[in-house]
Amino acid sequence: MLVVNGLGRPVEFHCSTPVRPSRTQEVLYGQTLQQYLNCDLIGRAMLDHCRGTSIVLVVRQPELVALHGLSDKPLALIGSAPTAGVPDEAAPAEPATQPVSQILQLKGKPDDTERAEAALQRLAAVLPLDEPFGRIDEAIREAHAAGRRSQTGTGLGEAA
Amino acid sequence: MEAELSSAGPLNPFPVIDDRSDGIRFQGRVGVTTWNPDSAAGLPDVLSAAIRLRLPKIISCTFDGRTPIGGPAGHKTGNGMLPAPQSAGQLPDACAALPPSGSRSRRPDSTTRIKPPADLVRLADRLFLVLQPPLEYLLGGSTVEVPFEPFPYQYAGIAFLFARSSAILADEMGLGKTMQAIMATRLLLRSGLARNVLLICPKPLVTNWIREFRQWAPEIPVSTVAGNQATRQFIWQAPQAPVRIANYELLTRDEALITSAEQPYDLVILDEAQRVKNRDGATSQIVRRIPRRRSWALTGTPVENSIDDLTSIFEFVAPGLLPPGLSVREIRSQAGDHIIRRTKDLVMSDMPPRLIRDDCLDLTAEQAASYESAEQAGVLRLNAMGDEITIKHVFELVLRLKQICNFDPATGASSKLARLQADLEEVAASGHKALIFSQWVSALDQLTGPLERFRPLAYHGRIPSSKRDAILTEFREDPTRHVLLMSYGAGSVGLNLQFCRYVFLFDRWWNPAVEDQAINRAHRIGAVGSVTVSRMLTTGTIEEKIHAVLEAKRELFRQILGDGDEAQRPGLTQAEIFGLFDLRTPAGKVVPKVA
Repeated sequence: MLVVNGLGRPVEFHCSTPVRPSRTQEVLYGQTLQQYLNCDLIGRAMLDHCRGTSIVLVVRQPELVALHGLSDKPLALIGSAPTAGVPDEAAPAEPATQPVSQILQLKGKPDDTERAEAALQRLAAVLPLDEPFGRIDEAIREAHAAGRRSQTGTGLGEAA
Repeated sequence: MEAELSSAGPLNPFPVIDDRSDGIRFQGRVGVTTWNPDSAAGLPDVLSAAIRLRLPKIISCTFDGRTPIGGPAGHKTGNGMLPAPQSAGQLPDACAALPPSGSRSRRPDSTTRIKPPADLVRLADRLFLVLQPPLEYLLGGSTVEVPFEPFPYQYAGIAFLFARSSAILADEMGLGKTMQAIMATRLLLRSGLARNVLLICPKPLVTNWIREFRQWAPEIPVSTVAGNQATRQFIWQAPQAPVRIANYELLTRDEALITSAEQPYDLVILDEAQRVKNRDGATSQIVRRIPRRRSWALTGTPVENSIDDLTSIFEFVAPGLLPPGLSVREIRSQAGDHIIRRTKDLVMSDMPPRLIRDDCLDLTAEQAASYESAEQAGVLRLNAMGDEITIKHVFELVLRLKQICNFDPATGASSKLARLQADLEEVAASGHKALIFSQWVSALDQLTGPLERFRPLAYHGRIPSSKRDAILTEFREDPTRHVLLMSYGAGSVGLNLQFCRYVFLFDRWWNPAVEDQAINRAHRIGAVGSVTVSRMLTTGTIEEKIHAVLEAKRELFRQILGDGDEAQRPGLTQAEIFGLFDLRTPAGKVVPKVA
């Protein structure tokens, strides 16, 4: 989980070690196992570790929308907007560009969601809304690599 | 309580948008926390235990105390101080500097992430770098304005410098080392990671650096160390200057002030760092003693003569990293993460071409007679010296012969001048401008009269520094000024003369890297068209022999340092200078003494 300020700069970062569900968990949660792991296990832990006051929680995986029940903050699901209508074959082809992430869902109390939407619009003026997710992926790789090095005693560790 | 590790990928990353503004203190923290077992309360004991055994560890990292890179929008204040980064909550509106709501960020074609260097140990420091937005967003936004969009390789250079405390930016001349260093410095200052920066450069380049700082970091106050001793002492000890610029010549005079600074500099930058290629030189020793936290070196020619040049620069950048005696392979392995080098051929495929033409000229009859006479007499004298001969004696003869290749000492006849006049007619007729380089100021003086119709200006070591900028301005702005006569020493580094389409090397320098620096005054970013370089060479003379030796060495270094590194060219060694003449004594081959 990455907490960014209004300019998209990092404020907090939390990630978990990789998790392999136990047999007990698989039996107990069945088809809801992934949601249990994502939301109840990891998501809740990260939200608990978050120190600052935040405006909105942003996710890009639809199954994480369930996190909304664990936090009193609004939650936004972002993704590429579905293409409207049938493309006109006669129209000249536009150059291929990466799809722009948009807010697909925004859950929360009306006042909170209004504030959240404004914050997201301001952030979108600085960088694409999905950009921080790339940083998260990189940081998780970095943290896990440090963890492996620490375990094997080959240098970089989790220094305090 | 151990979490079970698996090879599974990252799980469920999601960001939270936070309304806090920028922090003020550099106070990163890493903590490793385990799940609170109470959260499993209420489940049957067996089940609860089974679940707890599989709970993940959470790695947390907060950057509350650090000012985000790019920082709050800052402005130069009346007292010359960089505004202190503001802590969370102090900014009236964290989004005040943002574009209006509703606008959307343009997605650049490519992005440049800051990557932590291999030797950065603390995970918090590594994550701080990894989690920064790509530079295109940092610099493309409204908080850190730039006069124009940097090239992708320049973004990479900025990211490289920013992340490293020991770095050499060794881009080929003309690729914008100055701008990259300024932008990386600016980001360090704006993020609070640096507060006092010392830049050391050759004296003629001080004004150029000030100009570049105004362009690329207008909010950063810059002070120049100059004046009498009392003034300099005040500047050295003044606490309010985030960036000080000093020249190399000052180092010996102000050694005590520089090396005894109470607070170490957060960053010391050496421009034209080949100036410290001699490990035992006074300049090298002084810069190594400057207390500092970060050391960057900028040079287009990290290897001028031998690998020792590079290891000497590393003694400043990363002391002890490259002890003497390492092989080329070992040096590449040890230093690889600290040095970045790009050539125009690699990164600027759209740069106008640089057309190099060797003008091989015969000496005039008068020059040939003088040359033959001087060479015979000189070689005889050297041979007669036997074992007493030193490199200095040979060097004197070489210089004498090279001067005759320029002008006949008795009559002033010059085949090079005749050719130059003809070429300049064409240059002037087409409205272009030309740079003419020589290693001798006397030769430049001798050219002034015959080239008068092209209204030449002179720029060399005898021109006071205070007048040099005005000369360059006049040359650039006066369309009747077609020629600038420059010495290699004064005009080969740091100047931006990309409006010139022609460069003449009236005589050749010992080191092709220096010649390249001279050529790249014109052939650099912003060049308006192809640049034609005429290297004047008299056939059958010492110039031709030197050229042959240097070409052979260039090939050797190309093999060692890679195909893409044409500028890594060494100069002549002592043995090679002796080899220019087949010096023999009755006892056999002359064994030179080291002068």
